[in-house]
Amino acid sequence: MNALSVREVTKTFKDGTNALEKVSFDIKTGEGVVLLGHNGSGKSTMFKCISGFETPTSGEIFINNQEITRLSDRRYRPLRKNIGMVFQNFHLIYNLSVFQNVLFGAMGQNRNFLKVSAPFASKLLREKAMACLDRVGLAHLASRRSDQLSGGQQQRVAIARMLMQDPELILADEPIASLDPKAGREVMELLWEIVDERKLTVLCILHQTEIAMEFGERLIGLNKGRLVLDDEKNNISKNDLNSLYYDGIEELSDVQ
Amino acid sequence: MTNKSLQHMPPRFRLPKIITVAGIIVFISLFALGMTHANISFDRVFTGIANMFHFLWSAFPPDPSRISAISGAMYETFQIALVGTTFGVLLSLPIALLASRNTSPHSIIRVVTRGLVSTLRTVPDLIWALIFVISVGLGPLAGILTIIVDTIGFCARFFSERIEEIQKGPSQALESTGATKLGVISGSIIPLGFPSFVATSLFAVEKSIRSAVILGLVGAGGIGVELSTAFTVRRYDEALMIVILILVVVIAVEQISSAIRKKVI
Repeated sequence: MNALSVREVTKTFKDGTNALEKVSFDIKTGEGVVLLGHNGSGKSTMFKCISGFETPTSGEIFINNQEITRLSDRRYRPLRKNIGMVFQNFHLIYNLSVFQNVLFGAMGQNRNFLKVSAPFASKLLREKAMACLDRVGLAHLASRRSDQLSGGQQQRVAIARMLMQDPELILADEPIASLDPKAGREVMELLWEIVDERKLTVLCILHQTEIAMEFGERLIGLNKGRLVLDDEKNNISKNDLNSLYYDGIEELSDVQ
Repeated sequence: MTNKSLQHMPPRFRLPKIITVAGIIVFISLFALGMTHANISFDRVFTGIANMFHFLWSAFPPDPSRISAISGAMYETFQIALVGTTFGVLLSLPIALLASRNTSPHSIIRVVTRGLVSTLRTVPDLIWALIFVISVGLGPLAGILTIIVDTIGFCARFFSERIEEIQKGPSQALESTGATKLGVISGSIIPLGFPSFVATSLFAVEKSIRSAVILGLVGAGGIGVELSTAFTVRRYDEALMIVILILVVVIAVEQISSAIRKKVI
């Protein structure tokens, strides 16, 4: 079964720039895929279209065989519970505690805000939050204000928050782009360990080729909004990777 | 360098635009008319200064004989400011959420609430006080209502500006967990805006104390009545005592509020 299907998705912005042009790919349940591309390749737009923060100009996106492309926020909301997202800038509520930030991961399951606020949350939920924090190795920092943590720690808190959702699909948008190489590697290792032990599906956007080759079983490459690469890691040659950075794509294009 | 590139050198001065010239002329003529209208003469300024000295002479030493009555009135002013500001701040938050681009449920609601808030702000507090004195009668209730309206005009605007500045990211992160709009607002917008909301509210308290003093002049309760009476019956020494008391309270409130503000931010 496909956890995620992207069919001929095109996104044209109001100013006429084509961020995505007829991009199609499928991700099977349990697959770990890296979406690779340099700045301006359209990978972030792809992320936003899948996560519902942008609507594609044309084409369809299916999550677990349900079309989500043009769902209203309200209709998309129940599906979101199963999609865990990790962002480049962690997006924690910086002036709240680590513990509170992790509890917020359960917001999708609890419509009543009090049930996910630290003083009023149930014992069960509080223990679950601690378990998630423990999984990312930060249980001892639960009471800290989240902006007192290092970047790598903050990203791990964001991962713990995502674990609160019990997600089936993980979308990660450049999860290590704002971290130093060592912290970045640790975060990638942690993320992949979790994906492996819970048999999750993951689509991880990256721009670092080496990390992508190391972690992804399959690589998808975008260049100027077009799919230029989609293959198992073992079949990918250095030449294929170069296509991601090939600038002359316009001459090859049949549109222009 | 060639002569050709010298052609593009900007001139030292540019002729001002006609609209600028017209604006300056209008300003100068209004200013001149205003000066003549106020009938400012050397003579008047001189007697004015003399009268001022006379006032100060009769005001010294300040008369503390009615200090307990005055303190009671000052306490009432303080209460008016505190109660009014508290309700005003509590009402400002939902109004600001309705008036902000990123939290308003609909653009029409946003425009309407914005219009409402700026109307509250544009009408001066003395006029609100007069309106409320007519509606609910003389006394502190009219003062409290005025302060509430005044605080909404001030706080709702600054709250809403802060809300619009809040980064999208954390809200998107909560949205991505499947949170409702109300959940996103309670979990991200309010906590992120909180330090700024507190600071603005403390400014509102300072502002309210100052306007609550004046409100008494039109009968909306508090120390203003005492002050106006003292001036009417020419008890300048008592008036000075009142002014000193006002100064002490206003300065104390400002000091406390700035101390709290420093802690919060």
